Amino acid sequence: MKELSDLAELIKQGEVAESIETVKKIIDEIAVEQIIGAMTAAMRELGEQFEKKEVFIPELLVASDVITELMPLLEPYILKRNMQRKNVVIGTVEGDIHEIGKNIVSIVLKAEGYNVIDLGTDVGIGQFLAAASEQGASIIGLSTLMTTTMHVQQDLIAELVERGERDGYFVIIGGAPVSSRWADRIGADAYCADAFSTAALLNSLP
Amino acid sequence: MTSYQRVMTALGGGKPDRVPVMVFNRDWTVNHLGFSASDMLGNAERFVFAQYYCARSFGYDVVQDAHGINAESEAMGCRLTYTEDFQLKLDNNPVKDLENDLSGLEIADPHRDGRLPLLLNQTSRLKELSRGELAVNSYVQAPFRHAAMLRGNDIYRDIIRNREKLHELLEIALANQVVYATALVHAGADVIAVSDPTSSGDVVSPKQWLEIGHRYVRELVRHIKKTGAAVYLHICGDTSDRLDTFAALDIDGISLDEKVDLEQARRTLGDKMCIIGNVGTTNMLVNSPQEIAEESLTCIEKAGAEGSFILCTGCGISKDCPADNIAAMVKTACEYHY
Repeated sequence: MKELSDLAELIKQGEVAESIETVKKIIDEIAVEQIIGAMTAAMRELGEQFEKKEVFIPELLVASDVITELMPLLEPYILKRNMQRKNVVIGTVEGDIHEIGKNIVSIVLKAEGYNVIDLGTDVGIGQFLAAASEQGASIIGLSTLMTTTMHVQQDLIAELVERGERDGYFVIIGGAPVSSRWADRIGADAYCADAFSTAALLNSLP
Repeated sequence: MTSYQRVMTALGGGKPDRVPVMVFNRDWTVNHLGFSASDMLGNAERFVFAQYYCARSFGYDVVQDAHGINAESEAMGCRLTYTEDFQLKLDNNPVKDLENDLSGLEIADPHRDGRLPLLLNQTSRLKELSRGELAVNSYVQAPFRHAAMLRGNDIYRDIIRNREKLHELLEIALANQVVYATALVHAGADVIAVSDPTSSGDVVSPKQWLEIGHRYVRELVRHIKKTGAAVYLHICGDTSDRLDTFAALDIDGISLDEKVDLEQARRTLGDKMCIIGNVGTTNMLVNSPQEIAEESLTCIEKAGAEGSFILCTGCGISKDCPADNIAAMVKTACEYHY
C-alpha cells in the first residue's frame, strides 16, 4: 500500500510533521496493526543499515523522534483492538545518565509492539523492581555506559535472587562496557549489543 | 631515562628504554588512597597526592589532572553534581534552544570560572611534585564533546536538522578550548589529552566525524602545538573505520579504545604515530593479573614492538579495579625487551 510505504520512508528520513499528517489521513482506513507494521519495517531497515554502518546515531534519533510522536496517535486504536503486548521495564542504572542508546531500544521495542515502561536514567534498583512488579512486566532491561556503574546490573540481579524472584524476570543488559561475558558472570539472561538485537531476541521468546 | 623522557620519546615517535605505561585511573587513585569524590573535585592537594603516590608506588609513568569531569562545560553553565561514590552527573545544558541561546554563552576564564582554577592548580602541583621526572598529562574536551555537553543529546539531531547553527556552537566551543588548553600548558602540563567520545565510530559516521569532530580537533591541536606541549587524542568506542583520518590531525599520539585492533591501527597509522592503548577496562575489573599481563603483552606486540607506543587502558578504569591488575600492566612493560 502506497501510504504505508510512504510512511516508512518518512520515518527513515526523520520527517515528523509529514509522518503525523500521513498517519492522521490513514488511521481510520487502515488497521493499526498495519501502521505499526510499517513503523516496525522502517526501524528494522534502519537497524540493518546501522549494523552495516551505513547510518549512525543521528539518523536513528531523528527516526525515533517520529515514532515517539506517532505513538500517542496510535494508542487509542491499539487499546480499542485489545492487541496483546508484553510489558518491558527499561532504564539506565543509578549513577549513569547516558540515555541515547537506551532511548533507541525503548523506541524500537515500541515500534515492535511492546508496551515499554521507560524509567529514564539514574534509576535505582528499587525503582526498577517496583515498576516491574506494578506493571506486571516480565522483562527488565538495564543499560549502563560506564565501568563505574556496571556493578548496578549485578546488584539488581543479586537483589532479585535475594527476594526469591529471579525466575520471574528475563533480565537483559546492554551498554558500551558490558558484554555476553559480563552477562554470564552476573547471571543476566542476555546481553544485547543494540536496539535491534534486543527486539530480535525478545521476539524469539515464547 | 626518567618517566618523563620515556613518555616524550614515545610520543615523539621514538623507542625509549622500556615501554612506557599510563592508566586512566582518575577515581581509582582517589579511592585507593581512601579519599572521596569531594576530595577529587574540591581538594587539589588530596587529588594530586593520590595521583603522585600511585604513580610512584606502582611505577607507571604519567600523572594526570582530574580527567573527564567536563569542567569546561561546567564553567560555561552546565551543572556538575556528584556522590561520594564517584557518580558524576552533568546536566542543566545551557544551550536548550540552539537558535537563541548562543548569544548567552561566554568563553570561560580558566583562572576564575567553575572548577577550572582547581584543575590548573592540580596541574601545577603535579608538575612541582614530579620535578620533571613524571610526565604531567592534563585533559581538555574536544570541541564537539564540549559542545555536546553544552547542548545535550539534541546535538545529534542538530547534525541532521540544524547544521549551520551547530557550527556556530562548535566555533564557540573551540575558542574556549584553545584558551583553556593554553592555560593548562602554562600551568605545567607536558602533554594534553584531547578527548572526543562523541566522535566514536559507534555514534557518528566517518563523514559526520570529519565535518563536526575532526575539523575542530585539528584546529585545537594546531593551537596546542604552538605552546610546545605534546598532544594526543582519545576517542571512545570503535574507530576502526576512521583510523586513516587521524594522521591529518598532526597529533603526537592516539589513544585507542579496546574495540580497535592495534595491529590494524599500526598498519594504518605508520611507525611514527604514538599508539596509546588498549587493555580492556572491563577486563581490568574482572580478569586476573595473569590475564591482564597476557593482554598487555599482546598490545605491545601488536603496536609497540618498535617503540612509538604507550601501554595504557582503553578508557577509564573502575574505582574497584584490583590493584594487582595495574601492577601486572607495569610489570609486563618493564619486562618486555625491545
